[in-house]
Amino acid sequence: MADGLYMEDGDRRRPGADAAWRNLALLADCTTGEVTGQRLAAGLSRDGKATQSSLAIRNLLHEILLGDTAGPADSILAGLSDLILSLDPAILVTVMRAENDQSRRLEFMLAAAERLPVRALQRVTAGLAAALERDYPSAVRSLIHRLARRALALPQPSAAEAEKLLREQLALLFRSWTTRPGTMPERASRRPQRSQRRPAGRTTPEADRILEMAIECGATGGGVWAALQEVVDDGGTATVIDRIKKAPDDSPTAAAVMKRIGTPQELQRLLRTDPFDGAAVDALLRGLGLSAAKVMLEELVESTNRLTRRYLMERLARFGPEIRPLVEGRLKDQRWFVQRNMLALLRSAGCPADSPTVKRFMASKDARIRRETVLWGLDNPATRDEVLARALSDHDAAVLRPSLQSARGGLPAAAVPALARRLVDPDFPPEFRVLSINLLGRADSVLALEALLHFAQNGTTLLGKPRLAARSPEMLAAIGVIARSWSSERRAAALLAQAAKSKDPGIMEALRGTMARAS
Amino acid sequence: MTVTPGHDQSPETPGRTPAPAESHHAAEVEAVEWIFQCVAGGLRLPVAEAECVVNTIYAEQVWGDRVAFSLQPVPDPLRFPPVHAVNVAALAMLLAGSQQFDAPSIRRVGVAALLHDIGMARVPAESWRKPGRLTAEQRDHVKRHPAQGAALLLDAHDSLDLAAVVAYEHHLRMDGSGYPRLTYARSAHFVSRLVQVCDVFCALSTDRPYRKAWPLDVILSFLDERSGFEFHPTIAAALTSLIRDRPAPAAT
Repeated sequence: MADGLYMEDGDRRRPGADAAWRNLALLADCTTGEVTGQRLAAGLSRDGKATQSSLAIRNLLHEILLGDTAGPADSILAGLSDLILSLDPAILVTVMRAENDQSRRLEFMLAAAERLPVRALQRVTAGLAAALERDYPSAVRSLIHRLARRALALPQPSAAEAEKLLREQLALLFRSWTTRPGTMPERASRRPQRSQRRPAGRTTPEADRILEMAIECGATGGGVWAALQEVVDDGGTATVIDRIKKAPDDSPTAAAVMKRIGTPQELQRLLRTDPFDGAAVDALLRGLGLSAAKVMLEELVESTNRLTRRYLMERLARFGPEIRPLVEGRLKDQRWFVQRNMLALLRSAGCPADSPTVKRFMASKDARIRRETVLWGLDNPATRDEVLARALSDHDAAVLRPSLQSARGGLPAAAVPALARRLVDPDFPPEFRVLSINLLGRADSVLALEALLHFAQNGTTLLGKPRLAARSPEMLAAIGVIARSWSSERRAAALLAQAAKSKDPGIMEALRGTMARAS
Repeated sequence: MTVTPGHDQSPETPGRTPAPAESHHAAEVEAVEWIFQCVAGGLRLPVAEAECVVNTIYAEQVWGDRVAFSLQPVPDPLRFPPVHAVNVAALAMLLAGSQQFDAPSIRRVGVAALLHDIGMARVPAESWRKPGRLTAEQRDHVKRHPAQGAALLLDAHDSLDLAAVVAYEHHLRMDGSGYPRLTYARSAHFVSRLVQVCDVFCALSTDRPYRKAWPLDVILSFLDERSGFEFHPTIAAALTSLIRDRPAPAAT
């Protein structure tokens, strides 16, 4: 260091330089005069307080190498090199051991590899190896020495390149020494997964190739997971699954790969791919079980793709009744399509309807929700009558249709008043009238008869006899069911007597009841 | 930098048996021997140290004053794996340089070549050092070394993906023969082909317990004949021209 740590004007202006110089001086107990690395070392050995000295040197090294982001001045680094080379190697080892924090130690060592002059690097390397009790064979020491010697001996610009190579090498060495807890193999699964992509180039093997090779040779290390991540990031999950399918049944790698990609996150990513690969999703679903349902429900709610929604509905239904709590949680969502889909899912998954939920959603203002509720509620005998009683008074055709279809299997007494009232409503959909008339024909409620007469009779004559309503399908149907079910009732009998006088073949047919049966 | 086999059998003097070349990569061989011992002992692969070997060879090839590069002699059959590894690495890096690979890529090729046979560290020594024919079991052991090498390299460090591929594929031939058997049909990586040719060249140039080293002209003819069938034609041609075009070999 041209023997001296005199700052030059340029150095004095640099942040941290003053502190570094002051510490160098304090360390050697030299407040005046020329401070040299040799004198510092001599001062250290004189004071006899090895531990304190080691800590002081460690602090000094840290301050100089890490304290200033712009890097220390060359003259300070030169002084530091002198100090390192002057120290007893044992003291340097103690200095290295003084830092217990592993990440801090690595940070410092990487800064040393990057900034210390080449002539001090070898000493630091040896000191670190001894401090960490690393197996540092003399052959490797010799190779480092040769690299350093070459960097020092070459002319520019080769010297700079050789120095860069040496520094990279040492950084690699330090990193491997300071980050590995031991020399015995670690489990690969404990290592963090590499997230960044590998650089493209002639010496970068394709991720696919690595994956295939790993399955073939049974490898499950970090390199495999990095490649897998790359394939998956490129949308190749289906490819991965294809490889797994072709793998031997007992392949540990295939099983481990499946476990890695079989995550809800990956499932979500696949489902959001347009168009998504159903076979790949199915393969993932097999390994995920119910944990996939939450993601699938989320996608069912958010997906704008009809095919995706249809697929999800179908696959979610396969989970069966155990999916119920998750679906019910989604019913809190106020959006109509969410509620409708959840109700449809409850039905297709075989979850029995319950009265409170049915009541709640039958009261919905949205007919689409009411319809799904009806469909669901009708499946359960426990809620069927309640649902029919409510549904048959609904004003929406989409709700009425399945209700009436279901009522063909038996119209509960509780539903008769509702249907009778609705049937005579002018806005009751005409296409349902004949069916409704036939349904009411099986009921013994007087309300049903009133509704039937409404269609079969058009008031009375001046003589008080019932007048037949104008001929219509509803009229014929009403005549038919009255003839079949109410013939003994006084008003019905009078009407039927009038009908019997008719020459209309349709009315005659209805009276014979065939029409009613046919409908 | 050009190549000279350790047992210098120049084309001009076929059949001549020269003295072994001076070992100028002794430290590299010693370091690789230590690496192999670590792996054989079940320890983690010392990746940084392997790169150190490659960097040193690279530095010598780029900035050294040696005119001709000689393959290292094998003083003892037991030391064949580390010596062979250093030889293949050095030759592969020269060959990669001739193929216009950039500096980092050359060093990556070097690491891959250095570790191409690392799986052998897990193969019982009696399977590869015995002079006679191998038993079926021994042959099976040896044939597992590509898979074992690839597995331990993939497990050792993310950066060793190329090395793992080369370790796995360096016995796959252009015509689809060789080993290991692939579940998924694919052709070998270019660097695997490159290391394969260097591997064969270095192996044939070296005395083994079961045969003597081949004369250089025979090796070159062998490479020419099998180019396109066993070896990648471009690489085989590049290697043979690298050797044929070398200056007169230095005294050994």
